[in-house]
Amino acid sequence: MKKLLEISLGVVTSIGGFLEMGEMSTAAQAGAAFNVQLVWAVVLGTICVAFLVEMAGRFSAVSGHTIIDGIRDRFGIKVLAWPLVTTVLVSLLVLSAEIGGVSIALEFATGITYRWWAVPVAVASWLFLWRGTFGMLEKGVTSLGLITLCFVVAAFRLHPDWAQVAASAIPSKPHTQAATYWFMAASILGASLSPTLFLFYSSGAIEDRWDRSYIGANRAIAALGMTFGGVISAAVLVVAAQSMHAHGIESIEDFHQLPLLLIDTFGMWGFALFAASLAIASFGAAVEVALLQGYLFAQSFGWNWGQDCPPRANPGFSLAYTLALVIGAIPIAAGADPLKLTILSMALTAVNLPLMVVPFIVLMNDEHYMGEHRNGPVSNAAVLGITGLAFVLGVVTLPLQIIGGT
Amino acid sequence: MDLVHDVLDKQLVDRNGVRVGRADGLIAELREGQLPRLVAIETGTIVIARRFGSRTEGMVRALLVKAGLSHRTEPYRIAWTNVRKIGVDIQLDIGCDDTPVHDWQRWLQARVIDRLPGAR
Amino acid sequence: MPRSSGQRDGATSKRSERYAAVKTRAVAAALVVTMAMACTACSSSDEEQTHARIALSFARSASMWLDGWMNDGVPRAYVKRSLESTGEALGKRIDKLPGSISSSVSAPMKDIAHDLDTARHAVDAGDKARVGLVLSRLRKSTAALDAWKQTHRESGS
Repeated sequence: MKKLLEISLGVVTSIGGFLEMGEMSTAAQAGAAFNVQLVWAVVLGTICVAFLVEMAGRFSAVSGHTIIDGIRDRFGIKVLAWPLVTTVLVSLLVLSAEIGGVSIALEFATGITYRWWAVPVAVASWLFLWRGTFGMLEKGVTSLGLITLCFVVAAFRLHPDWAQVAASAIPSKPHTQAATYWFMAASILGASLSPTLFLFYSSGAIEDRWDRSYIGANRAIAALGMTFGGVISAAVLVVAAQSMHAHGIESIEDFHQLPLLLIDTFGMWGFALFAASLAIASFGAAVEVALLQGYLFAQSFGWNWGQDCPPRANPGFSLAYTLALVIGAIPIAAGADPLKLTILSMALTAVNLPLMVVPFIVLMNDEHYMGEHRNGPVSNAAVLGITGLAFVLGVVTLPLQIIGGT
Repeated sequence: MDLVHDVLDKQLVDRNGVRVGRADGLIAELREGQLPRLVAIETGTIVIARRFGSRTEGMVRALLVKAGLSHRTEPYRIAWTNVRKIGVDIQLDIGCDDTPVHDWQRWLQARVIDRLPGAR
Repeated sequence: MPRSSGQRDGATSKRSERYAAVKTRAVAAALVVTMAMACTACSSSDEEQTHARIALSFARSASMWLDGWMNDGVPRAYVKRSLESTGEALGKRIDKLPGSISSSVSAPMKDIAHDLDTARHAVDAGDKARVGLVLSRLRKSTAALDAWKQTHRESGS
């Protein structure tokens, strides 16, 4: 019975915590530019992240290590150093993007320009981590994140051609703007497959003291949580297709255009719903990415870490997430365009993926850590295939986008 | 026991389960006609730097001296006799306060963290 | 005689060195391919299509904002800020237009930029009548750009 409750809670927090600035921006832009054609990117990203999250939980429950811990343990510091450095850097960009997400939501709510909100948002995130506990984070903010289900409601109310949506779940070639199409596919994949998610999930499993008895629950949480989360992402894309593309708005260049997604369906309430969804979703993500910086350093170097302990017990860990928030606020406060920053950080995430995923897959197949719970060929193939695709798309299209000046 | 596989880079915990760094390096004694004998575990920034090569070690050493942290250019050694058990991590028979490993963290604690409200 | 660790580092560093070398070569190859693609993709008609598309998206977004403000109670501050931001962006784009651009594209773009500015002041003053005029002017500009797009079907670059 207790396990059932834990599963339900895990699924709820996975759904509520799925959408954030990255998912919203990439899905919205894709829906506006290409109608529902890029649904397949959301589907592939969701399948891959479901596998990755299930693996992360299984790895921690069986081996007693977090993923970073396991990579250092198995490969040594010299191999860990590279994914560590690149993931820290890319995550800082993602953190800026999430702070940007909350900041623009607050601009919508108050009329005060987003730049002024960067520092208050970073301070609020810091206070949340400093005073809160892991439990509060998981359950509180991500449950509020269920408000993002409004996109699913909007998608149904807009009566899209569901047959066309279903058909778009299979990858297809673009009719126009090929470079942009593949770049958006890379960004969508990067948004779904952020290492934050599975690294965070494995740290959470250790902090919640999961053991082998949690393997079944973990599988249920990963499958249900990620699938429903992916449905919300797909809903954003469908809503963008119906509200924007169908009305001849084929590009979202300015973040002020984003609330139009819900204004079209719900009028003024849509505006409020959008601002609230973006604020809650991005705040949860900002706190998580800041925490991730703490985990990255503390687990790599063997410091004490943990959200449930008071800060004085984990000084290095606390310093890491504090510095991350300070640095993360800078680009937005300095006036960087939040939309462009977000799309860039998602594409870079796609490029960075293999550095973290490949060592992780090796661990998942290592008998010493996993015993009889090693990966099967399907998990390996799915994750490596989709990650490889994201990497290739990202590496090829990102320079094109930068050269093209978009 | 495979030294490299089972000891190097493992998490170290003190007698109370507090994490006190990782086994960044090992000191082994070579003996004529016998297997090497593990003498001590080394931890510290300089030990990690050494793993990347002598040039990196030199750079890190210079940086530490410049930052006024020349006491950290010597690695901290934990004698093998202090190792109680090796499993998922290496359990040591010492308290974290006995090690300088957490010196900078304690400094941070005293100077910065304890001064902020809500640290406890 | 004590000796410090390094055995695994020897084997692992060889493996990771090889891995790094292969990766570097792969990334370099990808970059070369990308540069080649970029050079072939830079055609001026594609640029015109992009300008037209963005101008259209701003114009139609403006219609949605203005309709929302007039009829649905969408907050004035948000609509004002949106018109200002997109107006600025469009203005910057117009400043960077090459001389070779077709006037069927640049003229409506300038009209739209002007209308976004007018609309912002109208919203600020609460002048619904003037907003109505701007809306009909925007409709004309978008129709003109649409017509141009129809005659210049986009290439599958």
